[in-house]
Amino acid sequence: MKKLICLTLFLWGCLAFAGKQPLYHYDFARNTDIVLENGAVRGKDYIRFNGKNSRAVIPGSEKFNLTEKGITFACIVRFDDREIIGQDMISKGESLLFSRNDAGAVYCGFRNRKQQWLLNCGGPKVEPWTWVHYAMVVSYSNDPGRGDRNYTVSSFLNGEKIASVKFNEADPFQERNTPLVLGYGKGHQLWAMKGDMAEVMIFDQALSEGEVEDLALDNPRLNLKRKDRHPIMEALSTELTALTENTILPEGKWLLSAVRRAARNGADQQSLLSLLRQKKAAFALHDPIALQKTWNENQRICRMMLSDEMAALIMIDGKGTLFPLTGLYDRPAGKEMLSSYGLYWTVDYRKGKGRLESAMNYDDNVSWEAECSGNHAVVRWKHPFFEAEAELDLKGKRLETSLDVRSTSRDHLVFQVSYPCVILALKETPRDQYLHMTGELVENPSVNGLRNTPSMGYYPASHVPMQFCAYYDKGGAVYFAFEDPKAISKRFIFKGQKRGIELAWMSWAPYEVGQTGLNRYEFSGKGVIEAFRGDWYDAAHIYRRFLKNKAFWWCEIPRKNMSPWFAENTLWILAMLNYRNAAEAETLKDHLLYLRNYFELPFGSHVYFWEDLGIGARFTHFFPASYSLPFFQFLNEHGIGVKPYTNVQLWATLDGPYEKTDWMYSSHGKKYAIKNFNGSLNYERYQTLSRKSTMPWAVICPACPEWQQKQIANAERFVSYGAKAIYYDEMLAARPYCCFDESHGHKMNDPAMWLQDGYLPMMRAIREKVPAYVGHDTEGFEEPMVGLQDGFLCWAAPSSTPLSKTVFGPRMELIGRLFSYIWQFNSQTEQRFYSILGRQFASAEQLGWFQTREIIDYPEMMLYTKQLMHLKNGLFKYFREGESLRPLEWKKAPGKYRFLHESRKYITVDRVLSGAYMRDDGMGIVLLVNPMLQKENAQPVFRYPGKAFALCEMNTKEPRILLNDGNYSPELSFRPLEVKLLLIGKENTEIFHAEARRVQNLLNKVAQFRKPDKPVEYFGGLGKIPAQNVMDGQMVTGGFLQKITGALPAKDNTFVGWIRWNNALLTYGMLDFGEKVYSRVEISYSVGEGESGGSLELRFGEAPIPYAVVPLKNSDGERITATVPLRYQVTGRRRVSIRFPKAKSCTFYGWRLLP
Amino acid sequence: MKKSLVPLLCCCVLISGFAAEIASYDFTGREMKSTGKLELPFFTNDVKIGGTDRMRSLYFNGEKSRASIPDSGSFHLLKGGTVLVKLKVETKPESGCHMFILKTGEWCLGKAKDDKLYFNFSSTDGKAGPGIRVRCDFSKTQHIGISVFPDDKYIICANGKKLASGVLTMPSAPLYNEKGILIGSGWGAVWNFKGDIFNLKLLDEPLSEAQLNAATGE
Repeated sequence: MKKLICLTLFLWGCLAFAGKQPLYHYDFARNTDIVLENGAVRGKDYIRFNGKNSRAVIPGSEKFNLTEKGITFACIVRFDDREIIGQDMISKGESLLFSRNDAGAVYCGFRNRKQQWLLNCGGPKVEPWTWVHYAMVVSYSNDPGRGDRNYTVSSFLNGEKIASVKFNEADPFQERNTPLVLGYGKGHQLWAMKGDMAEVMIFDQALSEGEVEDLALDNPRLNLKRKDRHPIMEALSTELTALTENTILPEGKWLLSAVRRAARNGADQQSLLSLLRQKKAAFALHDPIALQKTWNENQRICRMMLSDEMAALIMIDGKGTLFPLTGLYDRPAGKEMLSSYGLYWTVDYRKGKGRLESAMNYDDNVSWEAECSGNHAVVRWKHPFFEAEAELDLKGKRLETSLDVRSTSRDHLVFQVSYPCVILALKETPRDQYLHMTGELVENPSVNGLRNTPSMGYYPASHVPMQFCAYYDKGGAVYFAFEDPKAISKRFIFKGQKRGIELAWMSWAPYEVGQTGLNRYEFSGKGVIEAFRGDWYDAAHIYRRFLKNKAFWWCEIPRKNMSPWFAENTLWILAMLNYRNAAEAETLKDHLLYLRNYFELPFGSHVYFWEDLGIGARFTHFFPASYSLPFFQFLNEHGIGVKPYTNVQLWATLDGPYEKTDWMYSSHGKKYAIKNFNGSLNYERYQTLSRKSTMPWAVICPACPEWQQKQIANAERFVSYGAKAIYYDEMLAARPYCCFDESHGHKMNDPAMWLQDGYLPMMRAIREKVPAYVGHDTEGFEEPMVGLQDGFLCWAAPSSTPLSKTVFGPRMELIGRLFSYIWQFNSQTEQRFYSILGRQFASAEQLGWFQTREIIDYPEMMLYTKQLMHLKNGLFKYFREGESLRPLEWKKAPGKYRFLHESRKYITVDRVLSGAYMRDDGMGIVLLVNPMLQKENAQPVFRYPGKAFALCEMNTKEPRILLNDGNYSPELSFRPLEVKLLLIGKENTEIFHAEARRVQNLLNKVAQFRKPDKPVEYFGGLGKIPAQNVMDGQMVTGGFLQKITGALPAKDNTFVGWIRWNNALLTYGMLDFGEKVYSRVEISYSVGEGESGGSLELRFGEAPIPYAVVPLKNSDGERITATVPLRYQVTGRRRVSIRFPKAKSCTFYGWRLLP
Repeated sequence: MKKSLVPLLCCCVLISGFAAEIASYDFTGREMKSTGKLELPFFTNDVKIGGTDRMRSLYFNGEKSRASIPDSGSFHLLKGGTVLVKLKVETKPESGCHMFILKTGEWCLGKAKDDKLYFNFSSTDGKAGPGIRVRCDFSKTQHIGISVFPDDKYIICANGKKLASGVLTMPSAPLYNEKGILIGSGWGAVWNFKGDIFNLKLLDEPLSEAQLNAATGE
């Protein structure tokens, strides 16, 4: 039995590391259960289709459908030579299609529920009777913040992507009775396949580009020509092997492996062989410098570069099709850093309005020459239509590189340039880790890929907010960056593959209006590959070096141009005014003032839906509704900073009143919109006001002068309304575009336009026009706005590392997390709240961004929020001036807590959260937060600079002062929701002791805070709502009901019946239970045969929260009474309602509270 | 044209004998049941559960309570169809008029102030005639059925007995629209229904007299 378990675990382990597994995999060299029909026959290792009506059916595949997980089809086929070349390869009735058309292009996709086929078409015709690998990937993506919900259909030929089309708002049609069919499909006999199929793989999920490439490259049938698979001459191979055995220096062994790679990548092997024979003696040397000198002298084939930390081999003979940098060596780690063909570039160019053509440095029509001096090399390539020049500098631990490209043709424009693109050698899988610039840390990235971020993203935008990433294991690490001090727009691609981690940057080449050729792509900054020791924290500090020296967005601390109240603010609360609902504004006033009084600290309120739709559409025209200005004034008067929502990127296509007419879209919005190369526009789609369909909003060009003026005028107006801060939705959070509208005054295809001509001048002008007390913040986090935006609303799923805060420290505030709409009560509601809030505190973020109804009925949550607000306020200088220290090490690490985030992603966090911050004056603080509702134990190791520590714990008289011996590691026991603080002092002085006592007193003060005495129902306008008195022990029957939805009361109000499925809501309004405290409820109901199922939820408060839940079981129609405990005690005035989730028809008589 | 098709259509109806239930509501049980094609009605303004716990009903208070049948705009009684309703009228001090079922602008079934069952309809000229008034004992629970044939013939039965039959008198063709059907209300406050409805059926074909008697009989 044990063996069986071990075997199962082993197999599971293998599968876990083997990547995604196909649902159906048929290799026709083996016996399969596939059903051959109508003349399909089995060959030696394939099945043959006759081009008439033959087909093969995959048994049991009837329920296979396209879902949000996506799908992948891959097959190896060879086609017969015939006049009609359209071929159906894989199909599923009326829902899925994977074919090629009569032009030979792949023709594939799916059908939506509106009965439309959504197809992708592209790629070249392949030669008949040649085995090829075709693949189709359909992936789903939903980015609600961008109005972008789509399925993307991509097609691949021999592992290379040939076409990709995105279909917005498409819901796939699904069939449950039709099987997957090979060789026959929608084209019927016309496109019935004539040829052979050797292998089929069908996945019920979308594979990444790297995974599809792996499928093709690994297949022995295809023997695809790869740029890194040039066969090596036997003589050269023998020479290399012999020399490697006799070489002493690791640098020598590496040099030989770099020569081998050069040969495999296409270098002239005869020259290499001669060189090796000539330089044999070099490999007997004991000194790397001598090796370099001996190797480089008297030859013009290649050069070895050498620094203390790295070595590189550069070919200079201009022969072959390889990239001249053939090896890059991390000397301390003793590891080659590159894999496969290492570094490469791609240049896309076009003639007139023609299609984009692509060239790579490996192409046969590209020649090159190189020169190398010391550790500096210059490589020049020539293509019929352009020239490219790369510089490569080996400087200590890093290789810096750049690439300039010039069009040499009067009628060809260089359009986009991908460089640097690199394939990094795989590290020790599966324990290797990849750090994405969002802070996402991925284990075993070549298999797992990115989980929470798309593998392709644009900079500057929330999916690529900074310009660096890192890849490491315990043995060594690589930092890869595009260190661009102008922060021009770029695209970044991550591909996890078996042959290595492929990373690529791409940007665009600008040209003037009317220019048809001879344009130039000037590399902005440097591409960097740097070897280092450590992890993501060390990579972040390498990037900080670049920022300090070069970046315009790096600024001093504490930041002088940050709005003071915004910098000191501790908490944000969302105020969602409902369009056309003035009453909601009044309720929110009550809620916010109630919280303001209880918290005893000012906070900010982020106000949404405040504009008057009777004037113009959402996200476009921002004119206040009648209730908005009094609302703003009320908040300001009570110390609640108002931050209204605005959008700086969109214009509704129906922008008139209530989004029914084209008011100014055609006359203004369309002119300001981004124009693509072909003149088309870009849209984001959001639900209409009726929520029955979606409407497009056009994306506007930020460099359009009229649009900038409108945004500046808007900001001034908002301040005149009483705004203390402004939230600019989507500014840089959404992807950048290049604009081709000649009337906007910018260059065409200019990657600097988005920021340098667009959002930077826009934000600078706004800051000049509005008073200094106004705070500014935008969506997501994007580095070029640090210094202009005070805050970043990072609402998406939190990343696994606090990367942006580690890089930028207190130069910006991170504000706002999604609290997963906790008013939708479930078993995780409370714990999730404490974890998110605790993490915000420990990560030095501003707290909150929940709605009032997410907290107002939870006294314990309000208490915890108040405690953390006051701690944040009392420790303000550490947060305002402190840089992040390295995360704590643990002798005994805390456990993990996992919860479901609103983005439908599972988030795993520590059960004890921590953060450490150090000010310039040597004072620092370590925050230790137990956000759990249970006791927790952990043992950190405090390895921080400074001579003294002071450990402050709640309800302790004095702080525990200790001298820092560099290895302080106390066993700490945390009470539920406890916070401990460790103060770090540069010196063990009286000043330090005084600060420790202050912090200890602060901690003790917040520990004494109490929950609010009375619920919000006693407060303001809510307190004035007339309540129906409920006597002690009185049964609350139908007569108390104010409103009934989805059910009907009896004529004499003795019961409520005919409960409609999942839809019934009984609303009692405000009830007053007097001064007595109740902790149980007695509920009376009957359930007849066929009515059982579902439950009854008695709910109290503004949210409202279920205080008691009773499952509705069959009572044969007899009236029964159940007594259950209340989740929280009830007394006084409360709003009350009852829901019947999933209940059917039962009869409900009433309820009463019991002590 | 309409008249020339009458004999043929009439034969088809009589021969088929199987009418499809467009709506079929039973309000008498612990569960409110809908077995026809249309969903259960929507209720507004204090519609309550009446009757007894053993035999419930849908109770209208004679004030503003009403119900509407979703997606019922395409039910056109005068193209050939049947309405079956079992109800009990309560006395209203202010008026003797009760609207049972109304398809606004097309047809209605109610109780006139003179204690007669009242059925009326509109023509394409937008006008309604005097309608049909038939004596009916509303002091008791009544199960009423009315069938209209494509040749404008009609039959009205209650509690298993024929009350009236004949040909509808109309100056032009009937008026059809896509407005939904209301229960218990229409034509202003005077006509608000006070009482209980136990069952309601809308059939897309007319029933013969025998069938109608059987359908409305106890």
